Amino acid sequence: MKSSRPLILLLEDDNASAEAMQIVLRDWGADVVHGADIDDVSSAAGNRASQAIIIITDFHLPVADGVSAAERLCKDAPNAQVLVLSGSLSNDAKKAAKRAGYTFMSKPAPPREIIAWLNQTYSLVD
Amino acid sequence: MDSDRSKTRFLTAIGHDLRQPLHALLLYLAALDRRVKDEETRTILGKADQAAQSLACMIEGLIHLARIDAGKVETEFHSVDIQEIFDEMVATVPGATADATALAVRSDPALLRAIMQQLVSNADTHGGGKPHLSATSTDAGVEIQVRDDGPGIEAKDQARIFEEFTRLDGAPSTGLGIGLAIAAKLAALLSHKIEVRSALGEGATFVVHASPA
Repeated sequence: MKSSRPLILLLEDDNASAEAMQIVLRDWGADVVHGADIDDVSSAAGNRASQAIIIITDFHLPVADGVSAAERLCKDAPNAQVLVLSGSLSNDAKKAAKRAGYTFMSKPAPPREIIAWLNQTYSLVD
Repeated sequence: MDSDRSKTRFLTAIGHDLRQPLHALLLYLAALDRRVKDEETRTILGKADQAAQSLACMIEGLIHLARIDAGKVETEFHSVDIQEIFDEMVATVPGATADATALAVRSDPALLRAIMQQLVSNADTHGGGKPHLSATSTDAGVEIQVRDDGPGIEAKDQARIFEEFTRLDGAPSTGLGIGLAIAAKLAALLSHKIEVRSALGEGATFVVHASPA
């Protein structure tokens, strides 16, 4: 890990997944701002949203889908890399992520793969 | 058929509903793994993680089956280098070996990889643990083979093993018995033929027939 703690925005409306993911991300060395949807996370992050270098989002969220939410957040944080997660059986999430140029993983995503993606992504953006 | 639609709906529902808590469970286990130092507890935790990952594999299998049956699996044909798939299988399955090949087939790379994963996993679990992969060019196209040194399969069971939820007498009770069904359904989707050549006591060779690239 590098010395500064990168900021990750986490959009997840499942309580257990959100809590567990935050522990894993903080263990990895990140500062994490979590919200159940884009309004929650924007409000929780405030001015820091623009400092986010990584956005991790579930696809099915209460307000906007995860890809649309990430696209909106990326307007303030244009260098942020995005990981989209989904437990849905349809191809919609994967297609939307691919269209936007984001990384996609199906749930349950192996924690090792998430960490590997974080390491690779952080080495690219830092 | 109504029963097929009901089955697909059922598999879809349980697959989706089980994925979310399992996702959280795997993350919690990963978080615990970083915190536990005591060796005995780490061993128990490792077993819990293996069990959770086995469950994840079974759920993925059910979901895969449901998606195929619901017509939600899309195909995208390209030239597929067989050696690349062999290399992946050998790298991920301890004990697996492969002959070198320069052959390529026209197929969907992801789906062909999924077929091979199921065949190699089947050979690993039921076929003595040393799957061997090879490919040959024939007049009819390309044969991709997964050979094992297991107990072999009687002629009367050779069609049945490609049906869902099938386990032969004496087979290990791991898994749901859907791996070969998934391989067969994906092969059908790709217009590839799949068959098994075997006799009791002589191991088994699973063969995927595909067109050359």
